[in-house]
Amino acid sequence: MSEFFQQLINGLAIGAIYALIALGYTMVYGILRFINFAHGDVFMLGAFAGYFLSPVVNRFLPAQSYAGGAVVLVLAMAICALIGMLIEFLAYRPLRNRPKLTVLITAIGVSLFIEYTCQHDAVFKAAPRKFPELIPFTNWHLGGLVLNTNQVIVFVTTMLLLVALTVVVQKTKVGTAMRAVSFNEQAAALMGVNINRIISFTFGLGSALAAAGGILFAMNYASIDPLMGVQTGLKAFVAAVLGGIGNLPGAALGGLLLGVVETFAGGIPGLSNYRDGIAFGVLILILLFRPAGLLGKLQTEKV
Amino acid sequence: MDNAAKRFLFAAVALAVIVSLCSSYFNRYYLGVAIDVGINVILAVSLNLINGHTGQFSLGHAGFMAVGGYTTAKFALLLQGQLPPWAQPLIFVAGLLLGGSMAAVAGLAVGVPTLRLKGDYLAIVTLGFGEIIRVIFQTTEAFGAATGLTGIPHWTNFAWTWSCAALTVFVVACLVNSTYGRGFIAVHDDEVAAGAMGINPVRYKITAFVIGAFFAGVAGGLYAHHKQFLSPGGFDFLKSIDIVVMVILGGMGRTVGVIIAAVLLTILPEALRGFAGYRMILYSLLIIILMLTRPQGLFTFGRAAQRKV
Amino acid sequence: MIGPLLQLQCVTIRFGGLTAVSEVDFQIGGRELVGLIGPNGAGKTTVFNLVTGVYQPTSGAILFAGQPTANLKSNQLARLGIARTFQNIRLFASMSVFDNVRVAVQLHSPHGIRDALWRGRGFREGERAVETQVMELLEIFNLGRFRAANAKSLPYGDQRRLEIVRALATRPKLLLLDEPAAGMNTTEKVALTQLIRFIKDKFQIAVLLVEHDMQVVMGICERIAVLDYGIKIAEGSPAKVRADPRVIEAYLGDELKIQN
Ligand SMILES: Nc1ncnc2c1ncn2[C@@H]1O[C@H](COP(=O)(O)OP(=O)(O)OP(=O)(O)O)[C@@H](O)[C@H]1O
Ligand SMILES: [Mg+2]
Repeated sequence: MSEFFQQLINGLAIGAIYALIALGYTMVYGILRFINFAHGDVFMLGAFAGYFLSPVVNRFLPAQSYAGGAVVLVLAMAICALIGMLIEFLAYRPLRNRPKLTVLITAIGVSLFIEYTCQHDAVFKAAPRKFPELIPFTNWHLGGLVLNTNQVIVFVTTMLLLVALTVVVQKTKVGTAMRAVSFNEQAAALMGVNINRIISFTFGLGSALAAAGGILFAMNYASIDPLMGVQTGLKAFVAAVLGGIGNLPGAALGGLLLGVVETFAGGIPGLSNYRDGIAFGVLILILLFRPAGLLGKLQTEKV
Repeated sequence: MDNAAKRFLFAAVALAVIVSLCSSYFNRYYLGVAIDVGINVILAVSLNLINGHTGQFSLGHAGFMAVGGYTTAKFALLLQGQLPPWAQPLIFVAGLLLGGSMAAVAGLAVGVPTLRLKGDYLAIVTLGFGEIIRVIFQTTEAFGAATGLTGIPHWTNFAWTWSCAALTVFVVACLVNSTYGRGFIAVHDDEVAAGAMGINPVRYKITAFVIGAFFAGVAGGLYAHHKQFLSPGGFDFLKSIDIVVMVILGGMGRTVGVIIAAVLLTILPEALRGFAGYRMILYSLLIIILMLTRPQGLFTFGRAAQRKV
Repeated sequence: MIGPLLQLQCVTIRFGGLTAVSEVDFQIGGRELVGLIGPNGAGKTTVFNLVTGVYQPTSGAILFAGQPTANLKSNQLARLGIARTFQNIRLFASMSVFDNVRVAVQLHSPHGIRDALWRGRGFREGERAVETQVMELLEIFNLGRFRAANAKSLPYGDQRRLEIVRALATRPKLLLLDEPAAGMNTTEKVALTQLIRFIKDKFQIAVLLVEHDMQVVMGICERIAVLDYGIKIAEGSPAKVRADPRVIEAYLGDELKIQN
């Protein structure tokens, strides 16, 4: 029984990270109706930003302190927000209103470009690096369960970011504009919404969340490399589809669910080797039986 | 006889055999590259049937290639010692057919569940299928798991490769250039209108997947007996992207353009060997610039035949 | 054949909360030319989509030549003899005018994949026959000179006529025309009216016509059914329908209300 809860905790921890990344996919899809394939690489860049920021921040704040960790997190989120906006401006904006597949292939190109550039010896190099410990590490034992600081931080940070995101989307003017653009871009433009600004903001927001996911992931797995965003990014995308793409609570739910499913399935002896295939298996099952996802609405084509 | 297509096929096969007979006069390295080119032509032209003509944008072609490659190789490895040397070509041909057929079955398995999907959703799901296929090979001991298969006999030569390439071009071109085959393009252009004209979109989509996957499987078999070594990593999603880029560069649904693109994109990396560190960075930049400037392909001129990506 | 060609029995379809077609009973005989009219959003196109299998009714039944069409796909219905045009023109955009029609002729071609690959004599003769058929059809409608042009490059009116040719190429028993006169000028409309009559006589088929232009509808239809908010509010001869107060109300209702 305690093993069940242990797996549940582990699954929710990874699931929370998927959720953070999935939100970026879902927000961009909600507004532009395309899959930002490079999103997983922004997640990776977030982790690397944390890696390089940590020693700098430690000059002002003590190493392995919550304050230092928080500063690293916020700075990395800001940097990635800028990167995300830059990608949108350079690669996607010129393709606005072009067929979706053109944009998808471009996004794949951007993703490969980031991955190969980062793997180059003059940049990050291909070899994995050890991620510094940002916060003091302790294991807590609750009955038979082990819960470590990093996992707690994952839950707390994800919760805080989700609340912040909800406030931004539901309560602020920008958020209202985002929802308007997502609902009907032309109508929103006629109402005086600056579409380019909103799209840019959406990319920034999504990329910041991905960066947070990157740092939380790196804290939990201790090792980072330029290709870490490939599998994780794809899984987060699956999470977004599972929840119903374009739907924010759906992305969060899908992320948690996928993390749990993956962790439990990985614990089954025969299945553990197929760990990387499980997410795609889930994706295919959803699309077969509930193409709109758990919380999404199905749209029929008008003829 | 107004049968230009058949004549093309026979001429191409004859040419391939002649070149192959003279192969001892050629530089081995160039010969190897020529075989790589042929294999990529098969992959690109077969994917063009699915993505270009039928409009079922698939990102999982490497998966079908893997199925064919592993099947053909395993078949040869099992039978190699059992039969006399003169039976080798028979094992090879049977292996290629078997590999192609297994890939076709995989094509059916991918084509049916993805029927309802379109555009980028379909692309991602086929990508997922490709990855699942790779993971299966990566974890199956009988196929060498993560290490892959080694010691595959070196049976692929210029003649086999280019005959298969000619056959692929023949099949795809003949299929599409017939009253029956216009149905693929009708499904691509407008599924609802195609249905109203009595075209069964389901059937055409599945046919495209099955035939496309078959030839990808044959290409995989040729590849296995060319490199003499298979590892699951060689069939990852990047390989699928390579093939898709060939199709896009050549212009979706343009057979000649796609062949030219396959040739160029195979030779280009060889020519860039000196810049090994920057090669892939340049390649990804090429994709981005291509999509920004000429999404309809490099070799597409004239409006009538343009297909939207 | 005895009995009507097409029969709608209490057909209803709902999209979420909206009842687009509500308990419609309607039938059409083998050689009839019937009009289906109604204000915007009345559900006319939806009726076409139901008859051609694009949508399945929420309740009720549709019979074609006495046979229930429930669960038949569009392509199966096309095979049975239902052809249509689309309100928002849906030609095959990457194909030539010729190929647009060729696709539709395929329905009756016995040659499949194997013949296309083998390219035997039967296949080549079949392809030539198809070519003749297509050209004949195009010539009847004066579209032969555009045969190699891209379908979407034609003038608007010709695109509408090409859609009709394409539908006829499937050799239908019932032809559904969705606003064929939309976007045409007066001369073109007169020509279209004659064309529809000609089609009905030459090909000996039934035609169901959705059209907003009353001159066209009243001029050629033998019978007219009127939809409003998905409900059939009137049916009968053009003269009778024109005089029906409910029809006048449906068409002018809003304007009358504004005036009062
Ligand atoms: N797929 C669909 N999903 C939701 N609502 C639909 C769908 N198709 C049609 N409708 C709705 O059904 C109603 C009837 O539409 P329909 O297109 O049949 O009208 P129409 O009589 O053809 O009008 P028009 O003269 O403007 O062409 C409209 O309110 C339309 O919005
Ligand atoms: Mg309509």
